[in-house]
Amino acid sequence: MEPLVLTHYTLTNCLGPGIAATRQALHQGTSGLRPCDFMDVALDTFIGRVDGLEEVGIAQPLAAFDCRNNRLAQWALSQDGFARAVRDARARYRADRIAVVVGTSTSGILETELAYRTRDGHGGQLPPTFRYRHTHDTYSSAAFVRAYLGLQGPALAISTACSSSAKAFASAYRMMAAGICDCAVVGGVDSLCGTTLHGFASLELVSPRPCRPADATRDGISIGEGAGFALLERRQVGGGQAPVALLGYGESSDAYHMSSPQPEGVGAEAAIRAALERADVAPDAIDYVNLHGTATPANDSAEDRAVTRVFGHATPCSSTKGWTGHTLGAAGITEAIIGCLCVVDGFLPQSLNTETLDPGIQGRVLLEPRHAPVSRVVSNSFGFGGNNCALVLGRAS
Amino acid sequence: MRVFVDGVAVSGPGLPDWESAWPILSGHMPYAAAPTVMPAASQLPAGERRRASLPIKFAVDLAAQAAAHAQANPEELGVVFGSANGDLHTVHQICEALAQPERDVSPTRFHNSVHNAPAGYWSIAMKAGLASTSVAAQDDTFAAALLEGVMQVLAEGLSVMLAVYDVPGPPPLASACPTLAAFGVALVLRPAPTRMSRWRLEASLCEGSPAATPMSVPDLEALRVGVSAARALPLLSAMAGQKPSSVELAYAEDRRLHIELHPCG
Repeated sequence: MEPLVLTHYTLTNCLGPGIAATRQALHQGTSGLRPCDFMDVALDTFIGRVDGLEEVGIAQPLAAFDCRNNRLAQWALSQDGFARAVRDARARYRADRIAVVVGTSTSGILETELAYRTRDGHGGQLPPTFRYRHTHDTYSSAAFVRAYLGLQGPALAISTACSSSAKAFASAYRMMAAGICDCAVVGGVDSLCGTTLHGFASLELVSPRPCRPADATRDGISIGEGAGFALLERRQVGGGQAPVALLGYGESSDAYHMSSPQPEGVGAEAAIRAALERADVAPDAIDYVNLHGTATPANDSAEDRAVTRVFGHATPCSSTKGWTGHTLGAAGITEAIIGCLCVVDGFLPQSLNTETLDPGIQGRVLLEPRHAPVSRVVSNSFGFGGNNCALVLGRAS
Repeated sequence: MRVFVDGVAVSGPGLPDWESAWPILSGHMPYAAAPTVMPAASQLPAGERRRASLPIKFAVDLAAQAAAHAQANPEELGVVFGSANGDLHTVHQICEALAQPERDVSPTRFHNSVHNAPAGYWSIAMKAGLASTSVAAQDDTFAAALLEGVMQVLAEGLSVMLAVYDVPGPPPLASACPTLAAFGVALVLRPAPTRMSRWRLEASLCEGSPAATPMSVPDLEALRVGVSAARALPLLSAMAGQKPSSVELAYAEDRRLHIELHPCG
């Protein structure tokens, strides 16, 4: 496929606002996870909470969008000169030629959870201040991002659980290939809520410790929150961040189970192979695989089978969820941008928190960071419903 | 952007299936409102059927009807599912549980709560392993999902199962996101004509006016306006009419999706 350049990108998660916070934490090996202190949730688990979201509102004329999820999106958009870069792009392409594709899993469901707690005081009804359409609605964050950036092009919310914001790249590519836009803002946002914290706990998939991907004693995920966005253009224009390009994407379905991966990783392998084929590169051209690596026993072993069947046992790989936690619908964009940082910095992050590698894991999981030239990376994202997406990112030529 | 439509399914109030609906939508039979018939979804394996919620069964059944109408093998279809609100019943049950001191969320309800649950159940039931995307765009969800489906056909060379559905939520959520009735539509889109192709569909994205094509029958126009998925009705009417026609669908506030439809053969 024709590579698309990520001319600008931004990330905000529990490591802090902006690219610099994530980059510094990756290089220093410092995790953003902490014992659960989200509202009054009493679960014995670690979370990746973004500090300060409780204090920052959304100003007029977009105040109707105010909720934790859109606050997080706004915070990311206002970092790294991203909003300014989109303003410049608007001048180059026109607002109606710039698409917005946003992945989210639970959107602003926290607003509905909180509204339900007040029903007794409202005769069983939801409070009059409850604004479903602007907060919880799956499209709310896409609508907010589009309005915040003043864009008028094609717009779409992708909601395929934990692959959502990886798949946003695929949909944006298709829009640009079809000629219905000239460039695209892609990304994703998901924020902490009772639904995911208690929901994953009910599936016995949350760890009481910071998550330990690929560890022999790994026992589940640490739920995080995050937002990230990238501006996709056909070519680099002056003044952007160090350019990295989307070289390929691959999508597949496990067709196996709603909340467990196919144990042999057959669907994951199909997505990775499709991404490599679209990028027209051989597996040995990949210098690093950023794993989905949730640290559940089932995910990490199924993913390892897929990765080793495609890449063999020598390609370095790791999950970065020990830093950020699992940001669910934002995991795809978070890890795609971490992949960009690996290329730009010539840096391969280790599997943070992992102490003893599971002897059943055959891939070359890094337990120490490495400095080495990185030309191309693969980033994996897998979601409930057996929904898989792999991206190939690499140095823009 | 040109694709071919091999199969269609519809389900809504007074429109139980395509065979009954097309004479009404083409104006040859009067419309009579009746509750939407909710399916048993016998396509799902027993375990999945037991766990599936109403919107999941509704969407899977629509997709199965469209695949049968197209004589398409579901394993060979990419998937685009769209819904404005997803599964409000499951959201309601989870939010009710989270408002109790125990916060006892059912694991099945939790995995059913993801927007792509119907697409996931479809893939499991049909062993459909290709790309699967689930989308939302409020009142423009049908137009946005159709556009995504058309682009998947063009960019990937895939045939695509497109299903767009909405099911009203229970109180008190229903009043926060009103949906008049359960309505769904499914289409099988092909990159090239087959012996089953019924329509050639050409889509283009245009500036604002003219406004979205309305329905001439007042009850059907109320349905179109009252349910996001029912914004598909003007396209379904054009299909039922069996003559070349064009349809405007509202999209992304000030844009519209212009569709030219030509019967095949």
